[in-house]
Amino acid sequence: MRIKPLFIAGLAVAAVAGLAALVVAIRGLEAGNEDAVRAEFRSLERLDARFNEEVARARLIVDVQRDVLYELLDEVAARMDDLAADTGPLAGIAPAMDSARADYIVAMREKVELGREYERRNLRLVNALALIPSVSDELLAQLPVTDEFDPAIDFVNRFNKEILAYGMLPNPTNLEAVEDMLYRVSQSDIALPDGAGTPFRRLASLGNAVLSDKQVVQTALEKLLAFPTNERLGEIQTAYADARGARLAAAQQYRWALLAYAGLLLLGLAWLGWRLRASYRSLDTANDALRDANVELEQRVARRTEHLEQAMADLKSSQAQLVQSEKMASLGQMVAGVSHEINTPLGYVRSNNEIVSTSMQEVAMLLTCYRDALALLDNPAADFEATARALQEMEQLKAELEPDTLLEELQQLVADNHHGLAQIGELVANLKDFSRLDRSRTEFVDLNDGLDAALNICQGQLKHRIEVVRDYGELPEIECAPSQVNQVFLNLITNAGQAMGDAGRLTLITRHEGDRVLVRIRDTGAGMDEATRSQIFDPFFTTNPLGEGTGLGLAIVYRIVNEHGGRIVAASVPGRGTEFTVMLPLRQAQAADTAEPVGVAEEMSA
Amino acid sequence: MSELDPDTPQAPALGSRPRVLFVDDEPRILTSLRMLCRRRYNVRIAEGGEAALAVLREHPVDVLVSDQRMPGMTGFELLREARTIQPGAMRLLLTGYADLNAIIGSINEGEIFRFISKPWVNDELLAIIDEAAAAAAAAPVPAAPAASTPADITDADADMPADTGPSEAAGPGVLVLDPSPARRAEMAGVLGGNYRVIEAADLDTAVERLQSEDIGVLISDVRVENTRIVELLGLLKTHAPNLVSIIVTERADAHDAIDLINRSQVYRFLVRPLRQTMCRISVRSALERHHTLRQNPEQTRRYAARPVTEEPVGLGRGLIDRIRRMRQRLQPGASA
Repeated sequence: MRIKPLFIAGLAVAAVAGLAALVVAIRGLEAGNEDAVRAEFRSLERLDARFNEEVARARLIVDVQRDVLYELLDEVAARMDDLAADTGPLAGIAPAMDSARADYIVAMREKVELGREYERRNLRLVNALALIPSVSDELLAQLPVTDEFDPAIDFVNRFNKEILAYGMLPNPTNLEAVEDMLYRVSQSDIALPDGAGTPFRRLASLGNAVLSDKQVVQTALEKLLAFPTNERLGEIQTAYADARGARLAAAQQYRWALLAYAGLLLLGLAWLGWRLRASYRSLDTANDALRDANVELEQRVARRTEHLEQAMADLKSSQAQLVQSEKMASLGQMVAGVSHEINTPLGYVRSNNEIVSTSMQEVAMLLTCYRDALALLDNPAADFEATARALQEMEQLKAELEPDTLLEELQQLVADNHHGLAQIGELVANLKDFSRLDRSRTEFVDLNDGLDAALNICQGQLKHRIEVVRDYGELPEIECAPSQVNQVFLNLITNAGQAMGDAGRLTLITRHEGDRVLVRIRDTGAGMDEATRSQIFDPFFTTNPLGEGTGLGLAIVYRIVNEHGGRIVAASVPGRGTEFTVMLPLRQAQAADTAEPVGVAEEMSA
Repeated sequence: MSELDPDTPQAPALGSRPRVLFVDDEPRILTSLRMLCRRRYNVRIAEGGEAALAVLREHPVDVLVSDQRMPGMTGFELLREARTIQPGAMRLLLTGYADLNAIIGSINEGEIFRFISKPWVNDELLAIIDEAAAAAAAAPVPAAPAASTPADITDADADMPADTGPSEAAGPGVLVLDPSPARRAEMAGVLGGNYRVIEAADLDTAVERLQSEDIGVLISDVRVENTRIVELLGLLKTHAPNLVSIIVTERADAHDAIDLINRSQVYRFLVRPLRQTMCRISVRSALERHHTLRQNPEQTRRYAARPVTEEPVGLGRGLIDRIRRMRQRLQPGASA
């Protein structure tokens, strides 16, 4: 996965490099420096033309501007030197071209040499031609104008004319004329005064010089003009054209290659594009699938969340219901307990009352019998039979009613009633405490004072048997309903007192811990087993013998602590004792959340 | 049979006095009851369930009066035990408060005769005990209890062949009184083809069917339309005493259940959702009970309800008259 992109990038670079190389090759082949080459060709052609032109002009012009041709020859020579150096535009294009160029240079150099020769002879010719008039004039001056010398004068003039004409434009006519005249000179058939022979011969030698030079010059000119430099140049050009053609053909081939390569690249690109498109499509598909999956997932998450929320809500609601039903159940249990607890004493009190009432009628009946019998006994006038009957009736009734036993029993019933009524009274009072859990009256109190107050109330139960140890800490005043909290202490102390029987030690410990106050009430009583400990906060649960206590005490404690946002923990070891720990917050929350259980029963770690 | 008449004010001789066992965890209650009853009955007392069972195992008892809420063993548990030890002993609960489960348990498993609530009125208590004692004396029960205990029933019993009882299909029918056709059909489905099921949508039809057909068991909800069925059952108890009734209800109420026992001696109190096996067994044992009552009319005293003293509420005059005329049809041999 990591290699592949690198590989592809390398491939792409190679492809582009190949393409570039091809293009560069084609451009190199195509362009060369054709313009320079052509310019060079043109320049060489022009140079040659100028060469020829100057050569031709040199022939024609009598008064030769010597420098022009001379300089041109130098220029051409220099130019050939340049051309010979392999740096010019023509160099290094093709071997054939190079050899043609070499040939061309050789030819040109020969031509230059010939040109120099031509220039030199032409110069001599021109000089001779220029001397001829003055020599003629000098000769003519020496010739007296006589008939005798008229042919000489005529000859000189004609010679002058013919040689100049020949010098200018040689043709067979004037050549023949000149040759003829020079022949005549050589034959000395022209009459000349004395002294005139030397100039005349000089003129003739000039004429011969012109003739020979002219012929040489003419030949040189013809040779020059016919010099195959153009052909040589043409060969270079041909070679160039060949090379160029070859290069163009190569370029064409390269172009084809380029085309093919580009085509291949294009195909590759197209394939890549197709691949890309395909992969994009598959990516799109995958993306769509992913999006769908995402949407699906989101929906599922949403659904799940909804379910969870629903479940949460249900849970909360069922928790609330559970708490409520728990409350109701405990309320129902309480009602059941209260009904039973109250109806039981009420049952026997009422029954006993009826029995007492009935018995009282019976006792009244017996008394009536007694009174009647006594009256009869007291009455001396009473009939003996009647008295005896009354006494018998009285005895019978007495035997039936057993008044002594009856009275005892009635006393028992009344005592029971007394107890029952007290029990009902106690139940009702406890119920009142249990139900009166308003939180309206809160004050700031020191719990140590509350403990002392509770101890005072319990003093009657505890004295002579229980040793009380007060281990009070420094306590801040806490916000609570003091009467209720005192009720908690009272109930716990009473419980402890009952648990310890005839002897024991009651330890009261108070501590301030952070934002709460701890009150521990520890006894050395019987302790509780697990089953008992788990029920101690249930209403009407009691371990006391029947008739003692109502079983509401700890339930009330639990409710009060709960109402105060506190906790109560019971720890116990059977046979060693029990410790209740009440934890109350320093301040009351505005709205107490009582969802959490506040009562925890746990094994004493001691 | 016994000459004992519940209306006789004078106490009979000690040996022939009804034997009554009082059970309560509060000794003062026992004291009071003993004082109240000692000149009338042969009284025994027990301070708890275990003690009571010990007494029951040792001594014959005609009437058992127990508290419900007691440590160790509750009243209805005691009744259930007592029913196997001494099926002949009439069972009563005397309680300040009994929760619904205890009440239903004491109906179905304890086959209770009466609920008496605390605080009681002495004369009423005595009258009920007299009634129970008279029933016990008039109709001694054979040693083995006729009906099975629903509490023992498990789902394994569902496979039990349903035709083990008396020939149900040919015998007395089962009247299902319910305004809802769906629930009637459900019940008919539960009972299957083993019983002659007669359906009635309202009280009039039910009474009509009772008049025209041989019906042993009546199945009904606590209320039929707006009439409490206890009114009809109470009347039927007097005029068709061997008809056995089963209550099937969705919303069980303690007060209704107590009323149904005291005023109509309902045989079984079943709470929906219906447990088929329980339902079938209840119906079968109800038919057996009906059969027993037919064979031994004196046994109806054991299942007699509190006499109807006032006009039933919610029943039409015509319906009441028809019920009152029914006795002759159902018990042609009995005198009015």
